[in-house]
Amino acid sequence: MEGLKRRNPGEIEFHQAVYEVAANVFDFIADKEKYHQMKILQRIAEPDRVISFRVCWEDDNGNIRVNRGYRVQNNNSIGPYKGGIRFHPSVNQSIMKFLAFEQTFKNSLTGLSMGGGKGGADFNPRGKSDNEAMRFCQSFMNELYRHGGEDIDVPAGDIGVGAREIGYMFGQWKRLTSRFTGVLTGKGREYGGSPIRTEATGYGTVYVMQDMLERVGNSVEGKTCLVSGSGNVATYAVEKINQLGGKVVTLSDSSGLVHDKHGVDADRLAFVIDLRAKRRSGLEEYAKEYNAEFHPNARPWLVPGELAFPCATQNEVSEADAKMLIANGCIGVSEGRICPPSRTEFICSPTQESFLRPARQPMPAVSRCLVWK
Amino acid sequence: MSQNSARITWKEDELQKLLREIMSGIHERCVEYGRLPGTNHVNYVKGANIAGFIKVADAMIAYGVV
Repeated sequence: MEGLKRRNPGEIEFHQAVYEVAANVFDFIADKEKYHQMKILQRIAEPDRVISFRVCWEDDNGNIRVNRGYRVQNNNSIGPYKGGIRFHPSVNQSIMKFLAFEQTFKNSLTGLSMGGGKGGADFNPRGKSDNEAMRFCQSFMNELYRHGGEDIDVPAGDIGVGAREIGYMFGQWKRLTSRFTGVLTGKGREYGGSPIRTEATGYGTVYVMQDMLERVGNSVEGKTCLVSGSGNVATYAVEKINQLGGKVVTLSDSSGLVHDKHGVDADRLAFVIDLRAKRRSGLEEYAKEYNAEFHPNARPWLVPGELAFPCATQNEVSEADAKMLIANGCIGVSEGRICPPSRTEFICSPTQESFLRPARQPMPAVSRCLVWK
Repeated sequence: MSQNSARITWKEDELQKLLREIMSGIHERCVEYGRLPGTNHVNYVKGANIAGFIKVADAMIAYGVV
């Protein structure tokens, strides 16, 4: 670890990610000589390559803007590099390396043939016009295309990279290479996108909970469920929980928390989806419509419930939250949250260990990669 | 990826089934590598990290020093 810190100075997120995996793996390989002899831990913590490049583009006022783009190709031992592209002001080399490192293990865990990579830029797509986003994506792809390809590196979306950005990037890839190949995942259905992809993270989060409960002879049926978030992941998680007979009593967004004791049934879920898509207003409206409680800025983990599903970019489960959940009778946590740049870990109590599934587990990426195209 | 290579779009129910199978596979591997010795408890994070690591590590060993 000392050598790692020396060779990657200041890259705190990357140090932390390597440390976590090493700490988990070390016991397991302690008596297995070949892993030490072949210096696997040291080699796996050195990315295959880190590409950093200038991305110039022109905004709608004719100003020239400069951003920095990255692609970290971490490891392709078991398949082509695969991992999302993130456009967010917090993007830097340390965060890219940390995410690419983690992605390698997440992808491996799926059992599919995918290596690990991650990319992005310190560009904020929020508030940018379609034309600005297009010019940025084209400029970004002008460099990235040299490093990608369906058997080489297949990026996907991540924070700040949705269908709009993927469309522009795939368009530029196609123009540069004359090839219509699966070089990006998360595309629209009209041009090679996959069905179920939007649903996969939310469904997958619930499936893992179902498996964890079944292992100990329990089930989702009849359980009171806490869900944070109200976006894609959360709404599909709610849909699946309802199918399995659970009852969801919370949803949240950046303005606060809805506590609906009646349960978020199919009709109410449709209202939430409509609220997000068309009216772009907060969950307070839901509370008014269905006479539910609304708590501004509250966290869902204070509400009593048996199963918890963190599915928002905010409101991760802290150690204090975990203790509160357990005290309130919670028996399981399955996380569908796409990790924001900064995160805290929580330690679960040993007695609950068979259920608790703390932050930073393989689920989100796994399910996002799963039906990729 | 697979779907693009083959120029097909799989049907929704096939993908649903595939998703379910893959998630079960993940859960099984977490249990296999994350079971705490002498108990029925599972550390899922640890199991996930080890399972993910082993597959990559074994491939790297097979390739030699590259």
